[in-house]
Amino acid sequence: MNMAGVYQLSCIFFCQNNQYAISIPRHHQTAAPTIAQKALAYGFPGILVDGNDMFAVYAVMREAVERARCGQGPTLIEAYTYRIGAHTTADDPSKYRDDAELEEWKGRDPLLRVQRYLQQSGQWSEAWEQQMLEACTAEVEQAMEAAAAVPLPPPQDLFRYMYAEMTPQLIEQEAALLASLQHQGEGHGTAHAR
Amino acid sequence: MALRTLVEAINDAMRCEMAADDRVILMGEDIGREGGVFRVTEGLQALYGPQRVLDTPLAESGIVGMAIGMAIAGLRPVAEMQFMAFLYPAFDQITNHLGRMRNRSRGRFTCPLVIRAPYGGGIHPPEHHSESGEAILAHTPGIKVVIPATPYDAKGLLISAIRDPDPVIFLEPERIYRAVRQEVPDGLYTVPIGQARVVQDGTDVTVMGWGSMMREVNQAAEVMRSEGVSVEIVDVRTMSPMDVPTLMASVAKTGRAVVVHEAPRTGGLGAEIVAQINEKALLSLQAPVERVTGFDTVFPLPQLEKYYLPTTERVVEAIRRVLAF
Repeated sequence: MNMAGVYQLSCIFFCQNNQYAISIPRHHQTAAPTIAQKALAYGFPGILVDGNDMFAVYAVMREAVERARCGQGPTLIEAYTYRIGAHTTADDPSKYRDDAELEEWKGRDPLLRVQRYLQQSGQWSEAWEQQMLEACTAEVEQAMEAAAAVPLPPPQDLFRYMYAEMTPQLIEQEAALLASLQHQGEGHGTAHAR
Repeated sequence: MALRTLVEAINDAMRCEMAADDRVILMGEDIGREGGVFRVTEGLQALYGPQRVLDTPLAESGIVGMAIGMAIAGLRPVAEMQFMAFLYPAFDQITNHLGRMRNRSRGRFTCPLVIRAPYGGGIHPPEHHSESGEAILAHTPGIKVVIPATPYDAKGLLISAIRDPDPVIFLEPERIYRAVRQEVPDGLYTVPIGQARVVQDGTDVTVMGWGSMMREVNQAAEVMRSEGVSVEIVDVRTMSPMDVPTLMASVAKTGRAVVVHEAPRTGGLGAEIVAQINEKALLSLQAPVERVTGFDTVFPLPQLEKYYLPTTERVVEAIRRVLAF
């Protein structure tokens, strides 16, 4: 951020502040009341916005993009939100936060807020919702199939992208690995199997 | 041709390469108007302007991060770390991004950039100005590490480094920045990365070193010559990827080897060379390989420097031991 300020870069720092690292809350990470205020020290605007309000986020982003396009330097946006789910499959959020906190934030889910807005302004129908759900599910399934269809990389792939030209060391190490795999293959017959 | 110091040869390499290639830009702390603390970039901002010779904020991680972005975008940045120890704040960028970008992007994004840093001890500075971290860098996949020992090699290797399609860390031995002058050609020429140099042919023992230690190595060989011992001297020059065949050919010929470096002993590149000898030239050996190195201590303040840095006498003693075995 300091470099961006010094060189007045056309750059946007977007902080999705979901209030937790994995288990450590934001107030243990910094004594500053907000992340946004840190931009002040670097000499450019820092904006705190309700990260669960799609329209508010759009508005501040549009302003930041405009500043960047006009060469007016960087902007920091802190979109204040909440991590509803666990950080990873190995994380158990019940160890470090209350249900009450979770329930309160569930009510502010940005998807539900947009849905309510569209419903109240008469731009939502159940048929359209169904159609969207089906289309999105199909798209995700297609992407998963495409990903699963990508062939597994051969062992040589380990060595190919380290340098423009493989170093003598890499050539030697690749040959040693391939010889070992071939040797194992003779014993077990499966070393190269996908 | 002109007689040039190491500093002048490095300056000349950047001057020539900037004239030849608009994509080459310099960046670093105090390198513009000041010309750098060792004056390595002196006069280059006046010649090429502040757009191509950037005085940066004091933030090494940011400097290397910016250089990575510039290299991906098509420039050829040469970033200066004011001292080797100041490179450590940038090590995150080096090991987590610089050395991985080609692999991470499956070859789509590459980082043809150079990081220059004065390194090594012997100039009696305060703490953090004398480190030899070449083993840490050579252990980092995806980057190359080069250490010149002469003005001629410094210019040719730096031009190769700037033109290299991959990131190169170029460590400049502080102690010999202005210690010697050598004939250095005026125009562009290259010295290939990845090739060691046999400085002197010999038959009785191989002594390998790099950087400022080549002075002690050469002096030790001179002492031994007066006693009738023929020393083969090898300047390793490229730490990664190391020219193992040249080193092994020499050891196979002489059957005895001494490796000299000022970096700490444990896990130093001397250990890597000994391992290579073990794998590729063991049966040629007439004696165990000796290492003459710095110690596993913090680099000392000036009063103890002379005890830490390998001396000609220590190199001579090691040569005598491998000969007497």
